[in-house]
Amino acid sequence: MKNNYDLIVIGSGPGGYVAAIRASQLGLKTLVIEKDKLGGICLNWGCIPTKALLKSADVNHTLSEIDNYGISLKNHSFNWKKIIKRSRGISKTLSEGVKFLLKKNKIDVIYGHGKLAGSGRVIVKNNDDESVLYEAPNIILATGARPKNMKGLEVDNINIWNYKDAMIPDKMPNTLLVIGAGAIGVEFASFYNDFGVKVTLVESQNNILPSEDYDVSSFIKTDFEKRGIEILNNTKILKLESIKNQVKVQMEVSENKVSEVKFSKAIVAVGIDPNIDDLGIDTVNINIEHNKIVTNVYGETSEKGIYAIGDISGAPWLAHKASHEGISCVENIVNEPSHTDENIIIPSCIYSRPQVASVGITEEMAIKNKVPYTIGKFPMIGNGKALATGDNNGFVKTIFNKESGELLGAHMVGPEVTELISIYSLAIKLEATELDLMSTIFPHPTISESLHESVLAAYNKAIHI
Amino acid sequence: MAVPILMPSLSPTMTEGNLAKWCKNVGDEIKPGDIIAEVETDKATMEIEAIDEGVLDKVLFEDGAEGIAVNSLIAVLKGKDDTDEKVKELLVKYKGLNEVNSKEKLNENNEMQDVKNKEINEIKGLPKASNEAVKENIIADDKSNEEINNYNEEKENNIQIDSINTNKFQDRIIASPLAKRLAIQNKIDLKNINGTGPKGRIVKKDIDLFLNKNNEILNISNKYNKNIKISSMRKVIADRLSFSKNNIPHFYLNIKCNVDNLLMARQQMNENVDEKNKISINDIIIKALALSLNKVPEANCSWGERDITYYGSVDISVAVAVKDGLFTPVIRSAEVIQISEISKLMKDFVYRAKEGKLKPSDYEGGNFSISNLGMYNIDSFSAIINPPQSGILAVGAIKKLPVVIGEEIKISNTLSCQLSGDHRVIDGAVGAQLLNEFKSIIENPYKMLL
Repeated sequence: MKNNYDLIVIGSGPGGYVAAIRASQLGLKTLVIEKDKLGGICLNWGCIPTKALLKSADVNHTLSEIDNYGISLKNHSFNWKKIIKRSRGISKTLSEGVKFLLKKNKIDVIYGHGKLAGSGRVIVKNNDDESVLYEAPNIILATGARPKNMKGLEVDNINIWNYKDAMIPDKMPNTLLVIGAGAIGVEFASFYNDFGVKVTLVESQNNILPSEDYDVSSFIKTDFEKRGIEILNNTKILKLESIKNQVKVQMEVSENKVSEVKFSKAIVAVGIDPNIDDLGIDTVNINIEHNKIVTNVYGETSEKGIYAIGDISGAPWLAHKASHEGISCVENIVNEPSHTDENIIIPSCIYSRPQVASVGITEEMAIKNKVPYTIGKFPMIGNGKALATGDNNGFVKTIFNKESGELLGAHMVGPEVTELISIYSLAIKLEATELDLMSTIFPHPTISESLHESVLAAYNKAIHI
Repeated sequence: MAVPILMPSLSPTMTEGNLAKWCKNVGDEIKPGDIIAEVETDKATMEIEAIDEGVLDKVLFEDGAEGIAVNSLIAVLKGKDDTDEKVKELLVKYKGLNEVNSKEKLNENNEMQDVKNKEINEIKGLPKASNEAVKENIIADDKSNEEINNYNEEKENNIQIDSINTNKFQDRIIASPLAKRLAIQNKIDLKNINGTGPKGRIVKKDIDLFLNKNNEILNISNKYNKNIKISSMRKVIADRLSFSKNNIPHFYLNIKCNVDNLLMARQQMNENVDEKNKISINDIIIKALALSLNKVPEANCSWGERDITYYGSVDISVAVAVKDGLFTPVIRSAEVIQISEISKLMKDFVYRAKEGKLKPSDYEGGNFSISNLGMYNIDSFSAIINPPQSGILAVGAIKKLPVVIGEEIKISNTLSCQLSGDHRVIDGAVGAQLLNEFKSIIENPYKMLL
């Protein structure tokens, strides 16, 4: 039967395409359904293109400080269109890469909108508006999420942007309002500021990066403000109105005090909504709570044979979480031993300048859960390599269980910390104690030495502070 | 001359000792009389004094090392004129001996246990940190190396994976560093835990699960199994009493004594005596038994394979319970010394027994034993003879009982005693004679003055 598969995956983002490749490796005849571009948001409109943009911002920043390195450069300038073009090009390359990987693994791909039609059945409406039925005993839903639409903050894609619009503007705005200071908001604020846009970053909660450790939030706030980014915590945006080439903004600065301000553009980055609406969920028996599909650690839903992974099964909305779930899900389907458990360790990375990376719990969570803990903090100023490279802006903070020596959390700000966080993730996953970390030799000179020092500092043994 | 320091034999029953701790460090100057180390024997902790002068050059065992055979070399003292060669010679000389001494040991304890003991010792000393840290990691490293080897072998020889796993690594336990530490902190044997990590690795979750389960069980029935290493004291008790019950034909005689007079006499003895010097019933019983044995010398003897030893004096061993065991310090020549002296000796013995500070000379020897469970409200019981002694008197609680005197029933304070006798050396009649003598003294305390 031509339209029969062992596994159908709806969505080809970092959850879906990874699950499909693993399934094929394990011998499952697999079909992937994609309504847009292979690779999903991550590759096309998320992680990757933004990293390309931020690299341009970083290079621009380095050039602006090039004198410090003893190099003089007359009149460096940037070409906005080229910056955007480069970012798009990288996404395209990667999307092609996914296409190649799926082909290599003999995975069929159908372009169109996939929808459940009862257990074991998927109807795909293709681009020619034909509906075709596909059948498989296992169906993985990996349709991801889209920007949240909030009343009063409706996006018009002209002056009021979502993250997609913010990635491809024809030209730079003069002033920019960024609504929501999570990872996306903070990255855009950093990016536009580095190219000279006057940025205002607004957060409704007490701190920017509200899910990060307080030390991280306050460090980034101080740093951003030094760079000229205006930060408004505890501020609600009541209404956005697009007028000609401007946005009229009503914001509640404090209780009952509303002010009206104008910006050239506004980015709405207030969270995301899972794509579960047009998925034929009602044709099967799947539990949905708080707008997300309820699953166990293997992505199993309440309907046998139907699985959900990635953004549609809940926070954190991260590509690497989706990929991990995709692999656990498929390995469980074929009974391949998989070592997933309830507490999967998910690091978080933010690619602003400076970068932020964290894993495990924050100090605030340790206090709230009454965990006995000890803290180690090491400033990057004490790190030789950071000094040598001219970027010593940041710190490394570690949190240990005081009694067992378990590494509970690590929070970092500074150069390439997004690369370094995996050292701590691995330590947590392998259940290293402080002794294992202390007796590990970190090469000199590297920024990673500050990870060692932070652990030592937690036990009052740091050498370079 | 380099001087060897050997594991001393501190009591006749001692075959091996534990090195509790070193009191001197390598490199320290040692003068005669200095305490070099503390050694734990089957009964107590003893100090090793230096006899010679020199520098502590080498120690062969770490603090807490267990089961070191008597006469094993434990350290070397280097004299002023000694060369390193001399020390080396000495080490070579004793190397063979130590190996012979410890061979039996090795067979008893498998390696896993050693590793575990080591880890426990390390964790105990955690605040001292760095040294310990290194040690713990050495262990962890050894293990991970083994894991790597294991993995390589698997790769090379896929077919035989199963046999390799079951044979070679049967006793090996793979656990994360955190799981190991939690197991030690919670006194869990990793053997009892199912690992759910990759390749059965024990992870924190498994320990948590185990602890939760145990807590649940505890809440319901308060019963669960655990294995605790046998202490050297327990081992001696087990060996000697098993020997006794297996080899000595015990016979038992019961007698009840009226102690109304005795209680009154004791009250008078203790009048105007301050609390800590008061004479106890047990002190009086020791004296009474000693006097009885003096009167019936046929019972004050020991069975030897060739001949029977009849003792000149009456040395009474008195059982003293301590945490996890018991001691039997000896009141020597109890038939001669005064009750007040017995009382003083006993108070000192009890204090030192509880502190673990009795010397072998305090509890070695003894001709006859007393075991008193009166304070535990036991009416009467059958005690096991402490070899090579000929008997033991088991003393119960004093209770008010109805007693027929003439034609009347009276309430009187009654003490039940049971004699366990070694029938190889004492016959029933001699035992009876001894008990009656004892009863007569207990019921008529003035006889103790005669």
